[in-house]
Amino acid sequence: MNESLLLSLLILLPGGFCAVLGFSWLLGWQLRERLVARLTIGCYSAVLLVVLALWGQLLTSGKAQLHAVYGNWFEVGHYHFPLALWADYISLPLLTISALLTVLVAIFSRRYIHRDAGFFRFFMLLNLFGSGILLFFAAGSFDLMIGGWEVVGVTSILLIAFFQHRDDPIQSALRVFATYRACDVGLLVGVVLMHIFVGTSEFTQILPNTIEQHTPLLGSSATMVAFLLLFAAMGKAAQVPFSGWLPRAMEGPTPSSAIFYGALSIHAGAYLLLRAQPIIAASTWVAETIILVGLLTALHGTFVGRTCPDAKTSLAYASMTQLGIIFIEIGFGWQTLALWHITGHALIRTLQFLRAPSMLHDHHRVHAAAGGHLGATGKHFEALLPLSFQRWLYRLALDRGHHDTLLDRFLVEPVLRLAAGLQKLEQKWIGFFGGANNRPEPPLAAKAGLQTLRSSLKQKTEGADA
Amino acid sequence: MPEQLFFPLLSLGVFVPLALSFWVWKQTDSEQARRWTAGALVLSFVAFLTASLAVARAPQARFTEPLWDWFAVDALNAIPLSLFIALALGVAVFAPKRKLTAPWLAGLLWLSATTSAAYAANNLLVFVLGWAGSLAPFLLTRVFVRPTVVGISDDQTDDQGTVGQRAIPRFAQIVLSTSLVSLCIGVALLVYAAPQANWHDALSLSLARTGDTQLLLVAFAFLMLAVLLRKGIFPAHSWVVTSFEQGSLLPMTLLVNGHLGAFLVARIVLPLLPDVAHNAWPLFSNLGLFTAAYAALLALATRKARRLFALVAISQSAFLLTGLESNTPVGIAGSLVLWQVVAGSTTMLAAVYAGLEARLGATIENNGFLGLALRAPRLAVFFAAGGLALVGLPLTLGFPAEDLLLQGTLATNPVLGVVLPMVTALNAFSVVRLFARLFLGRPIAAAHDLADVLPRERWVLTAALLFLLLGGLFPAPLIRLPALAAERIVKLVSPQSHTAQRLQD
Repeated sequence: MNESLLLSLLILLPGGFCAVLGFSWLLGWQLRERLVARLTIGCYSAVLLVVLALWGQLLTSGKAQLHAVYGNWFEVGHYHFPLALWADYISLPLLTISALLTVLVAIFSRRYIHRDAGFFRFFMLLNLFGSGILLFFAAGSFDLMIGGWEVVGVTSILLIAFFQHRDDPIQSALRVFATYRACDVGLLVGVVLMHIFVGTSEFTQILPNTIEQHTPLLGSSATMVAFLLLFAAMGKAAQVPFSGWLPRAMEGPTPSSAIFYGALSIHAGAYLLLRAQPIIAASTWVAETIILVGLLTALHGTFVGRTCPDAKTSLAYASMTQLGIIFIEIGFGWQTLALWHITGHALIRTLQFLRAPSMLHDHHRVHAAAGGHLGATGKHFEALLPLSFQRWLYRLALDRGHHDTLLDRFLVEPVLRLAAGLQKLEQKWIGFFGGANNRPEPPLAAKAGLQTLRSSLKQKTEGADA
Repeated sequence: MPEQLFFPLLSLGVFVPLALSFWVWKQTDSEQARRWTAGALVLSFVAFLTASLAVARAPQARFTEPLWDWFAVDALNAIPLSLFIALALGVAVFAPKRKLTAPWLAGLLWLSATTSAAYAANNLLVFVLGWAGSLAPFLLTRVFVRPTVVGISDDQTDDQGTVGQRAIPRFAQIVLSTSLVSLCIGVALLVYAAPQANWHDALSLSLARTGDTQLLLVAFAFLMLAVLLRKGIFPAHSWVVTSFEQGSLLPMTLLVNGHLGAFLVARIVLPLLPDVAHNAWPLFSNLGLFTAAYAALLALATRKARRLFALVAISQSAFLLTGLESNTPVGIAGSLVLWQVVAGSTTMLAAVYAGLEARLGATIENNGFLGLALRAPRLAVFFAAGGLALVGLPLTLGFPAEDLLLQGTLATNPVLGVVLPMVTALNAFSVVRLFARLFLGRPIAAAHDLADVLPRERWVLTAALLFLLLGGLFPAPLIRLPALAAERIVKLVSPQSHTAQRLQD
């Protein structure tokens, strides 16, 4: 099979399956649990085979990348949105783990979510996520990357709010979504700037084919674009100061935490930076910022992780620490090391997340095998620090670096206060012209109707509470 | 020279619903009236779609009708015509039974006919009549009056009062009436300033306006005032908010989604007054952007579902003005595509919301989580998909629209290009917040008896979803005509073009 067909199958298989699954449900067909799980496993196994075939093509052809252009998605005047897919030694490892881990998580979830009311919803979202992440990793232009990036973001928040009967997961999902959307602005504007500076965002035009070539984005234009891409990557990769969403994201079911925050979604930001490495290399200032952000995140993650009382949050902070180190590697331009690090980290972290529900059992087994209770590690490092500093560090870590507090106090609250002030002005303005404040009283008959309705609804509420 | 359609399709599309609105008014059985309404709108839709297909085959042409030239169809109005009637048809089929009356449906038919007459207008008089006619059910009749307003929050209901005897609040009536008067004065001045003595020529939409600059400037000011008032641009946005809150939601959504203000800019203001428009662009463009940002901020502090919905709709549709005045084919095309998205998705959201209100028998006061997804998961999915399309989620038509708009505006005005994604991000948050409040959380007592989407509703919502999703996956056919219309507008408006025209004159 030629590379064009293989690359298109990579997107069409999961996308088509997801569409069929979604519309069949909307039109009223109820699929059985086993069938949904088997079809998902089958679909992503097929995707895995396609990825392996792409590996074969790449290794035997001797090319640096496989590339296919399917024309323009849409065009107006001189502007066009290219529909291009791309597989090279950066994207193929990530495509491989995406397909592999989706299969594994589907197998795991079949039993883990068995008979849960949200079984179909979970698998639907898993499929949507799979389609999004494959699109993101296989995209041949930064434009198309946005597509996958946003789909991953939306499925992420829908899975965080999976246990929808509790308020906490919903509040967490909203918080995560707000962070994602704020940082996505960087990607959107960055890609539009690419179009303005270079006229395209296709990898074939933006990224140099050989080490001797340079990206056409140079100087201040490169700095601006690289900075915006870094901003987007920081949000998705939970880097300081946008790291507060990651522990909240642990509200979702464990299999989704594994594939999103242990394996794939969390590495999307790092992949974006790897892809944009030639642009970053053209701007020393941004490369240094990436190193600084990575360093701060790694320290933040490791300190806060030690104060977390539950397994999943500890793992989330461990992920954050590794992501910080990966950012440092990218900042130094160690592309291959970063790629290995991402792959290895994604696999091991997924395993850890999937084992998290039975961690207590594992813990006892390890201690029993060791013949007694194992002590805590890291005491010799702590001894190097003065006690007062240790206490200060502990308090800082316990409040997760005060990041959320600071963001709330200096960003969220002022914006909300401004919005509330405007809302009050708005009410006065409408009231002045006889709007909302001047509504006439309801007629008596209607009032009686209202009373009846109110009491019946109250009775229902009390009945449900009882 | 315009080409001719093989049949008076546009007149058929306009006059069938117009004539049947009187017939439907007199019906006593509301289900019978619904069938008549749906039949009339299907016929109208087929007529407009056939006319649109003729334009798609010859996109550079402007088609008039064989018998008279009151109406015309070209790349600019082909899609809005079919889309608006499709939305009205969806609303007629979807409308909850308990709210349905024959006069309500007659009003819907009238609104559809007059709005499409304004879209299809081939002269200024027909446009003004269409504009005025679309306001008539809200200003002169009580067909869309919402009798009682009861609020339901997470665990209690609250009497919110009634709207009284009006379809929309007095404030909205004042604004809309003023917009109509402004339009009439603006058009009268345009006609007066036209150099031709012939009335037919003076009313023409293709007549180059030259002559008394002062008079044209005043005409432009009145026309833009009409646009700002009708579109709900700051500080006139409040009429939309209060009307959504207190009026009948589905007809209100259709009235706003007519986007006749934006159409007035694209069809009349930019082509007929290019000199003045060119100079005044930054002002109106920034005003549009300010409205978008202001409404997005207000939405953050709003708990009432209807108000939140209105503010998001205002914010997203304010971008239409920003895009139209970007003076680039990409920006204008983005604006015209965004029109389709805003119209499709807000109508879909309003339909789902109206369905929920009808089921609960009360207005939803959005103080806590209602957990309605427990019993209505499909309604939740439709709502989420419509909302995310509205804010430009990839794989929906909203994404190409936002992309084009961003490319078009950032090229000409960097500030606009940066603020636009930020405002969209705020709106996305508001939409997701509204979704969460309505559908997630511990279900309220009333949610336990809630019916999920009914077969009649399912087909309407699936069609809307398919439009947004297929439009997102294969956007080229829906972008082709707006792109051509945009290029034509830019040619008309560019300084070289109208200098050449003036030299010719």
